This record gives sequence, C-alpha cells and structure tokens, in this order.
Amino acid sequence: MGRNVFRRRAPVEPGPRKGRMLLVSTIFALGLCALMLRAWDLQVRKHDHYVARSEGQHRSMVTLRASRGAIHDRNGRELALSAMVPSIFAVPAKVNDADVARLAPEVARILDVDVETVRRRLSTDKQFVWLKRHVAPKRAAQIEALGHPGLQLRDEPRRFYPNRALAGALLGFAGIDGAGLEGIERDFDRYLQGRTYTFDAVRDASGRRAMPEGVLPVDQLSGYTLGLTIDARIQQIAEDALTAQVEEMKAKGGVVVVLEPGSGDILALAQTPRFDPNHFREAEPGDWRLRAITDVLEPGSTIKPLLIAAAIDAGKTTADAIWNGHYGRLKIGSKTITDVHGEKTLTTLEIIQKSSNVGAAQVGQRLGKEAWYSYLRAYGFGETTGLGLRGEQRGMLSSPKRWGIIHLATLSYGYALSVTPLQMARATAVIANDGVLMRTRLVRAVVGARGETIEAFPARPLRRVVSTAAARAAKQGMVMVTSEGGTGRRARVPGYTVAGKTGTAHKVDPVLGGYDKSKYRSSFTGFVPAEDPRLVIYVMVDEPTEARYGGVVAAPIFRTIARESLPYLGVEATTAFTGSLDEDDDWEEVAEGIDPQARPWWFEEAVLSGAPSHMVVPDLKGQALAEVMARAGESKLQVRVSGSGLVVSQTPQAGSLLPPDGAISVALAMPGTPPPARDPEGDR
Amino acid sequence: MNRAVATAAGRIDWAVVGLVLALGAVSVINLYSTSTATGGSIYLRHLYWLLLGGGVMGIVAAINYRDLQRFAPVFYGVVVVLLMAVLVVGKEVNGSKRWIDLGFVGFQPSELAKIAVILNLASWFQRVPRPGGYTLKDLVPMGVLLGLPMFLILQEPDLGHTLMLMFIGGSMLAYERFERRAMISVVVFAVIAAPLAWKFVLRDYQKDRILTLVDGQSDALGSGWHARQARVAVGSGGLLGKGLHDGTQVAGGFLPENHTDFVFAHLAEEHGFVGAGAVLFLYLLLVLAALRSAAMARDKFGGHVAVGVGALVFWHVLMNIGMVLNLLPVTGVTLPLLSYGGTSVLTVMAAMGLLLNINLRRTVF
Repeated sequence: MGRNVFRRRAPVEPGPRKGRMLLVSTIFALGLCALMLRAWDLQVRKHDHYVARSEGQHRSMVTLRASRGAIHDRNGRELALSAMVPSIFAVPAKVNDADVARLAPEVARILDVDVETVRRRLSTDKQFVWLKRHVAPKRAAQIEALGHPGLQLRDEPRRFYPNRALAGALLGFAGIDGAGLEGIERDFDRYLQGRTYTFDAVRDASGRRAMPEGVLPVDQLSGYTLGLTIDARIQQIAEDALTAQVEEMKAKGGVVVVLEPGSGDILALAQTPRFDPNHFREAEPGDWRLRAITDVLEPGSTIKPLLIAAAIDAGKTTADAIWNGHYGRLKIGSKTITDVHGEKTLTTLEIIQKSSNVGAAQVGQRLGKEAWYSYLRAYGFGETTGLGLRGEQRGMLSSPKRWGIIHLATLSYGYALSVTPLQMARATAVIANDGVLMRTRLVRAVVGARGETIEAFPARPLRRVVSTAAARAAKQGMVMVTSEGGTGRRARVPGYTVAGKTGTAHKVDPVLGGYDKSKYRSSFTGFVPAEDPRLVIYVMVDEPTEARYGGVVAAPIFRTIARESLPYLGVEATTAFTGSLDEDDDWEEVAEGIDPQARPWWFEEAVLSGAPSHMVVPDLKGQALAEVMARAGESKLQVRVSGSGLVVSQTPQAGSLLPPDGAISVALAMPGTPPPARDPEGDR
Repeated sequence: MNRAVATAAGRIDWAVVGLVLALGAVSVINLYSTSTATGGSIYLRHLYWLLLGGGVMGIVAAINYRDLQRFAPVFYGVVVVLLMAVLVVGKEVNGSKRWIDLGFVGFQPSELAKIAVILNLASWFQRVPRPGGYTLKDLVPMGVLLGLPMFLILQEPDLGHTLMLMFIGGSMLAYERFERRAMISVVVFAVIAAPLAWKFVLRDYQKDRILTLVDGQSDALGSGWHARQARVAVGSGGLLGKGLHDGTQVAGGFLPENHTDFVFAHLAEEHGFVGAGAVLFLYLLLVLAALRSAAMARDKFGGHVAVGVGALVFWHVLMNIGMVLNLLPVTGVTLPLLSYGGTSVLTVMAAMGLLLNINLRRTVF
C-alpha cells in the first residue's frame, strides 16, 4: 500500500475545476493587495500626519521624580519628609474653545490663580501643562468634580519640614521638582533624591484603565533616608536659648554649636535669625546660610585654653608656672597689649581664668611661631571639618613665615586668624576629649527604603593634638573660669562642673579695615560636665548692644542649654553647687535646697514653684512634634506619640484635668491627609 | 529504499520550506527588537518554539497519507472534548477562557480546532463525491461539522477564532461545486443570520470593537487605544522605516501586545512600507504555494486540505494585519509565525507539515 503512494497514477476523480482555483486565488490575492494598499496609505501618503502624532505622544511624556528620602535626627525624629499631595495639570489638546471659556474662570477661582494665565494655558494644543502644583486636597476635589477629561490630578511628593524653622539653615530646602537647593537637602542630594520616572499625560487622561497607576513601582524609586547626628530636642533648646538672649541683648544675630566630644557628633547647630524652610522664599537669602560653617570670625580669648594646652604639651611650661602680669600692660615692639584687670603675677592657669592677654602673649612667645602654627593646624584650624556641606569655610591662618613679632602675640589671644564657629567648637572638644580630635560627624547613616543601611559613617578619631595631661591642665583652667574669680561664672550649671572660656572680640570694620571699637562679638566655649564631658557648647553672639562681654552675653546661653540638655540626656548631677550667685538673682531661687546628688534640678524646681497636683491639658492640635515636646518639657508632661507630622488629635482633650502622673496621647498626621481613625476607647 | 528517499526529497516543496524559514527569521529579528525595547528575551523563546515547530512539521509531513484521513474523525473528537474542557477548567485571562494551563505552558484548543476542521471537511468531501454539485441536504452535515467547534469557541468567548473557522470552512466550500438551490440558501441564511448574530451573539465589547473601526474616537479607553497606537506606529514608519531598534512606539510603552497580536505594527514602524510589503509578499507566496499544492493534489482530500491550509494562512494574515492597519476590528488573531506564542507557532507549523505531506504524494503529470 505504502509503495502506491509515490507511484504516478491518474486521479480517481478529476481535480477541482480551474475556475474555482482561479476564484479562490483571486480572493486571496485581492485581500493581500488590499492590505498592501492600506499600508501604502498609512505609511507613505499619511506619513507626515502620523509622524506628528507619534511625536505628539512623546511630547505628552512628563518626567517626574519619586519622593525624596526623609531626614531624621539621631533618635529617628523626622526633620524633613515627603508626603504625596495632589497637583493639577491640564491636557489642553482635550479642551476645546467653548470649554476654555467655561472652565477658565472656574479653575482660576478654585486654584486661586490668575484667570488669564489659566485661559492662556488651556488654549494651546499641548498635551501637558501644570495648572497648579501641590494644592490642598479640598481644591483638588473641586477640580475633580468639574469632571472634564482635560483637567487631571496627579499625586506628587511634597517636602515638609514638620518642625518648621527648627534647624532650618542646616536642613536647607528642596525645590518643587524635588531637587535639593540649599543645606543638607542640596549637599546630600545624591542620597535623598528620588529617581525619575515618566508618565504619559494623555494616557493618564484617557486611559487609566489601560495603564493602572500601580504598574510603576514608584515606592522603590524613592530616595534614601538620612540619619543625622542632630538631636532635635537639643537643637530646639539651643535655638530657644539663643533666640531669647539675642533678643534680650538686642544683638544682630548669633550661632550655637553643640557637639558630643566623645564621638565628634554634632548635636545642634543653631543660629538666629532663623528661617522656616517650608516658606523659604519669605526669608532673606542671607539667612539661608549655615552660619556655623560659613561665617568666619576672630576667636579672641576663647583660644587661650588651646594655647596653654599646646605650651604644656610642648613642655614649654607647667600648669603652676608663674608669669609676670606686668600690671596689665605689655609693650611688644611698638604696640602695647593690655588686660582689663591688671595683675602683678599670674599662674599659667590663671591666664585662662582671668583671660589675660599679657600672659597669653608671653606664653605664645615661649612656644614660638612654628610650634604654635603647627598646634593650630592640629586643632583643625585652616582646614574644613569635612562635613560635606558646600560653602564651608576654612578660615584664615597665614604661614608663620609671614608673622611678625606682634602677630605671634596677637595670635596667642585669638586675633589675626579667623575660624568658623564649628572649628572653634571642635577645637574645644579636643580639650574635653583628653587631647584627641574626633572627626566631626553630621550624618550617622544612609538608610534605604526597606530599612537597609546604604552607607554608615562611624565615629572616628582623627589625631591626638595634645597629651592627656596637657588637655587636663587646660581643662582645669577652664573650670577656674566658671569658678570664683573667673570671667564665665554665668555659665555655671547647678549640679555640674562647667569648663569654659569667654571671648570678646572687636569686629573688623569692613570699610576702614581696622577694628571697630564699638562692635563686638561675644562668645563662650566650654563643656560640661568637666569630669566626663558630654556636651561641648560654643556660643557666639554678634553685635550685642546691651552688654558686650562674653561672660555676660554668651555664657548664660551656654548655661541654659546645658541646664536643659543634661537632664534630658540623663547625665546625673555630680557636684553640689556652692558659692556666690550674686550675678544672677533668679539663680538663687532655682538653686536653693537642691541636693544635686539625688535628683535632677528641674524636679526640685517643680516642687519649689508649687506645681498644682493636677494640671490643665493644653491644646496641642496643629502643633509640630518639636513644639509638643517643648511644651511637655515645660509642663513635665508625659507624651505618647503616634504618627508623624502635625497633631490632629489628642487624648485627653484640651481643658481637662490631668493628674501629675498622667500622660497625654497625641496622634500626628501629615497636613492634607485624613486624620487617623480615632481610638474608640481613647477620645472620650 | 534509497530511491524512495531520493524521490521524496525531490518531491518536497522547497518553496514552502524556504518561506517558512524566511518568515521565521523575520519573526526572530523583529521580536529581538521588541525584546530590547521592553527588556525581555522572548525572541529566544520564540526561536525555541520555531525549532520545535520544525520538528512537528517534519512529523506531520511523514505521517501516512491514508492515516491522516483515517484518524481525522478521532482528532476531531479529541478537539471537541478539549474545547468543552477549556470552558470548565480553562484559565481566565481578560474575561475569557481560551487557555488550558499545562503548568509549564499554556495551550489553546481553538488553534487545534482549525486543523481538525480542515482535515474533516476535506475528508468529508473525499468520502461524499457529488459530481453534479453538492445539494441543500449536504449542507447539514457540513454545517454541523463546522458549527459545533464554532459554537464552542464562541462560548469562551473568542470571536476571532469563531470567525476564523467560518472563513476557513467558507473558503473550502468556495472551492467546491454546489447546486444553485444550495448556493441561494447559503446567501439567504447569511443575510438573515448576520443581524441576528449582531443582536444576540455578539457581546458589547465585541460590538464596540467593530464600531471603533467606523469611528476611531468612540472607544479611546479600550480597543480604540490599541488600534490608534498601532496606526500611529505603522504610519510613523514611513516608506523605509525608523530602523531596527529605533521604533519609539514600543520603547515608549505606547504599543500594547507588541510581541503578540500587534507585532506587525512594530515591524512596519521599524522597517517601513518596504519591510511591511516584503512580509506581505512572503505571505502571498505562501498562500499561492498552498493553492498550487491543492491543484496538484492526488485526490480531493489532499486538494481540500491544501486549500484549507492556504485559507488558514490567508485569513490569519488578513484579520491580523487588517486589524493592525485599522481595516478590520480588533480580534485576538495572531499573525502566522511572526506573533509570539507556542500554540500558534506549532499549529501553523503542523499546517505547513500537511502541505508538505500532500506535496510528497502529489500527482505528477
């Protein structure tokens, strides 16, 4: 049978007719020819039309950025974060002239923008144009209610600084398109910035169904979270203390730097005037700069402990060596150096305590130009601190080859060189840290969207500057500054030993070039507790008018910050405070009867001031977390916090009475998001 | 034996083999281009399916000619069972059940139904010769043979394949002689059935697709989007095209289904009218090769199978490219060999195997 298959043989039945074959072939060929003609029609005849269409589609592609990463303080408190808020855009190609006339006034009213602008934007044949970005959800809902396919919403990330002006200059701000423009936002943009993605305005306008929103993993594109070393609470304390004193002294401004000496961590960088990055346009651009690293100033007497430590370390003197006081007047070359209080003799440490320029000049001459220069470099002057922030100044420290005899003298008490507040603070930290300079740290870690560490920056010592013994000697001199007979007694904190140094420097007259005898910079630098330093605090007040000495203007700021921060950090009081408090009337009341060994000072204060057994619950709604914590600190309230952003609800409600051991619960939410469902048991 | 092999080799329709190779090469290059735009590697998987399909083609070509006829009814029975099964256990995709999930690969029984209908219609014509033309009474078994799988496929629902079966069957009928009464009846039936089908059989979205064709803006959300984007892709390609890898419609994410149903739009965008025309010409040659096999077939069965295979290729090309060029409504009909998809490739290759089989046993004058 199989063999038959290949055998030639006539068909059993005549094959299909030729006519039928022709018919079927013709139909098939005509069909394919029709396709060919249609292809010609589309591809050749109407080519230009479709090229324009194709390009038009790409014109409607809009590139946006995913959310920026958040900025957290050292305790994970949010300093900057991004939340999704609606933005309104139009697809003008889908809005005809009649619609423009009808919609423009409506849209302008809802969005509170100029009618003509709206009309002009809607009248083009573009595929995409923003009408207004970052609008309130209520307005967005009104636009949506218009129901026109040419008016569309899109959620965009918006930057919020929930603590308002807190650390504003440090944080900087980001623009509407999510690019950092100032401060940390700018200089750590590479971590914070979300990656870009594109979306199609036309397709979004007409075909959400065809391309659901969820297709794009926008969440995975968002930027990394930055964990700072800043402590928001201490930052708040520093800013409040500085602002109050600058106002009281009718000064032009001021800067505070708070460091943790052991780690080199920056805990606070406060300055005034402050600015709120949420409304950065309303502030003077000059106030955007982070003055702790961009302002340079002559350190003045605050440098004296560094000199003494250097001289002792170099073996040129000892802590108890006796120096000639020259009764406060010493002629060097053609110049005469003077002291405020002339002394016959001074010990080395008394040069620090009495802030003697005459003494410091002699120590400097003993130490020598080259040595003092290399110590200054070792303390970190003349170099940036390596924070990675743009605009950081190195300060001015000229080569010793160019120093004359008078320069060595003036450099010994802090003139003829310029430093930034941060440089001064970290040099002070060297004394606090037994002679070791730590790398200054602002960012602890960079964390990814899933909590994974992208990059960590561990604390690291940079170098030893002076010996432990030399540092301890200088520290002893600094403790004397706040003791009886010292210039910085107003820096004293009950319960703790304070080491510090005052500074009062004339400002350079920018026009005449010399020193302006009527303008001062008053400063105080120090650390506490002296035995085991936890805080280095540097304070500078610019052009105070009510008083001028660092011990009067700047030292109280140090005291306020230390007094409020140490209990917060859980540092136990170690010393009983004894001695005269005549400079401070309020001081006595606060300090009276305190047993610093047992309880933190503020506990006693509350008892002394006769705090009521029950307190009235304050209204916390609408406040930022930092404000809530500050209020809680004032009133000794315990606060339980949930969520982030601004307070939207609280338990118990404002006005009710709270027992002394009671606590307030607050729920926070981002502005614009619906408040969280209330706890059924809570809000009664 | 050697002589038999040599004769067989001489009788292989090398035109068909060459066209299959050419279209296969075009498809892999084209899918390679969409793959790089979308970041996948389906062109490789498509190549594997083509190689597997080549094996299937060889096996089908080697099956004993008489066994083809003998087992045609069995095959038909299996297909009907599968078509019923898919309605029950089928995997639902976009609201219709067309796929049986075999775990490692999906499989579409409606593709097999085309082969089954071709074989059985041809077999029926062979078994019931009517030298004077087929009568009205003969239309009943033909109608049942064709109508049963059509009905089942319509339930999935899959309008594209239902129509495909109708067109393939119709083409095979057109190749045969009918009595005048029978012909008039078919025409009258069609005239009455068409509006009824529109009203009772078609679902709303299917009607939408047909209306979209008339008014391109009417359904901008759904199938209108596909059609419009395909048109833009084809039209912006121009005479010579944008060049391999330079198409923007796929890369921009505008063209959906760019590796399956709308694969031709991508080809036309990148290679222009020249490329699109060349591919159409290859299909025309393939269809004509099938009809030539039909003319040379040794009996009515072979002739009708060859016509059926030619019709299968032709109607697939017409409906798919017609859809891409916005001449015909959007239906999920693949482009033979060019569209990615295992079942589709294997079905077309099996059909090509049938062509080769018929050619091997052709009458030589």
